[in-house]
Amino acid sequence: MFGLISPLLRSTVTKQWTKVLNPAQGPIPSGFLSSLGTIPSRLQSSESKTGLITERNYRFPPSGFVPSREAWVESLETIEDKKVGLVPLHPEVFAEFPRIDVIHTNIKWQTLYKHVDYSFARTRAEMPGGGRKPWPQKKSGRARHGSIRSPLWKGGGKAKGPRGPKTYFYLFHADMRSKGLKAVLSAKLAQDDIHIVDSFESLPSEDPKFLDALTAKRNWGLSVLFVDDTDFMPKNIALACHRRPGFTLMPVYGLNCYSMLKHETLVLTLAALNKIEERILTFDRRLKIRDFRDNTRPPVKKI
Amino acid sequence: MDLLFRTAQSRSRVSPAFGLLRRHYWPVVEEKKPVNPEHTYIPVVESAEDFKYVQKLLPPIVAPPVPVQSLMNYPTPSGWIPAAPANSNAPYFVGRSRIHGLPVYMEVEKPSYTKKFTKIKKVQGDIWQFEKDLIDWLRPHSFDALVATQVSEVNREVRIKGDYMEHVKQFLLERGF
Repeated sequence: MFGLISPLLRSTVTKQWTKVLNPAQGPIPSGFLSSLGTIPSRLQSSESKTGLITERNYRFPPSGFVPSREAWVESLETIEDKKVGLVPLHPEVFAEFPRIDVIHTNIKWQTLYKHVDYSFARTRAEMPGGGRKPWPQKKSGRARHGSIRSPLWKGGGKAKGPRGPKTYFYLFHADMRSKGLKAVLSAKLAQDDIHIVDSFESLPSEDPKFLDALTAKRNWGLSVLFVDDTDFMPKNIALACHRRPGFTLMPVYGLNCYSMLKHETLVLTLAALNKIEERILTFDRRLKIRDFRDNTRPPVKKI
Repeated sequence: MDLLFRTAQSRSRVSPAFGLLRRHYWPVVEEKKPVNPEHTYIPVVESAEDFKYVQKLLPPIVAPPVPVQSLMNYPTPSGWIPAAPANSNAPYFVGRSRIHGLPVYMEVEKPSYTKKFTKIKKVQGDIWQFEKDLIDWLRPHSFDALVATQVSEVNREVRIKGDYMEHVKQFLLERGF
């Protein structure tokens, strides 16, 4: 049953991620997506791709001993690798120590929190029968027994067996999750597995063969994770990745260690890169003030 | 055991009487009909401009940046000194904490609370050279001219056995960190 359900679930999820923005369908109702307001700026940035991109406006500029890393900005316009710019990457996100233990704890959490153990065994009390003493206590020459459902018996109940559906859900520390993202991003960049593109709008064809040729030419491997700022994608890349195992589209808020390790290559847009860095750097600098409103409780109404 | 059993029995006996004293855990909502329904519905205007007054009450997410113009005389009354704009030519660097303080912390071991450790975080660059310089700085201040240290190269931390908080802070400020 679960084998039947899971592909259906997966298809709904991918559908949600790959919502096609089609102006022919009419105006999108307001409040449909909270990130809708970011479309015009993104379109403008994708249109103005003359000249090299070399500068970043950081809210938290890098300070310290570690120099910032650099990455080429590519374009999806042609099959051949066409460089559009050179972008510096923040060293606190992309030059961290690739902590294998932190990555492992993240992966363990991601596999465990959705795991439910359904194994179950009945005790002697839950099995039918067994109330009668099978034979008298004495004078039969046999071992003394009080119930045929005793755990000593074959076909008897299970003593201290697995009990019912058991959840392995737990919340992982947010600090460790941030550390895990930084560790995986740094490791991926060091392995030359992160590619930054100007925008997904620049993909000219919706034919999956074009994307196949592009990934083969650029040596991106068999599985690619495309991450964008928003949770709806341009039409061409949505159709090119539709029902293609290994090619996944993902918004920034879905970025996680497991998916990044599962896919060979991580492709980020410039908007996604900005958002990831801003989110992680702000999170690492956030003030750990305990809000006084957390302690207040609504007054209990006496009836 | 016997006492527990008896209490359980007595509670079960009394249970019908408990029904009278049962608490209502959900509020009983009485449907009140308004006297004049025309006057009850007051028109409400949603104003996005007034949200700035709410934002004043919200706590800040990150600490504000270090003021350059307003605070020129250091140290401040609290004793805080900012990092020097241009650091020394040392092959290492020590960052500041998220509230622009020195990343020097004290660890006290439980349960005796007698073992004390001084920890320096956020050490970048050549951490081994940093440890050597730190030991040279602390040696005259230690009891027997021996400073026991631990270096975690992965976590970028140095730990010293003993309470050297003030001496380490002096060391860092002198280097401009």
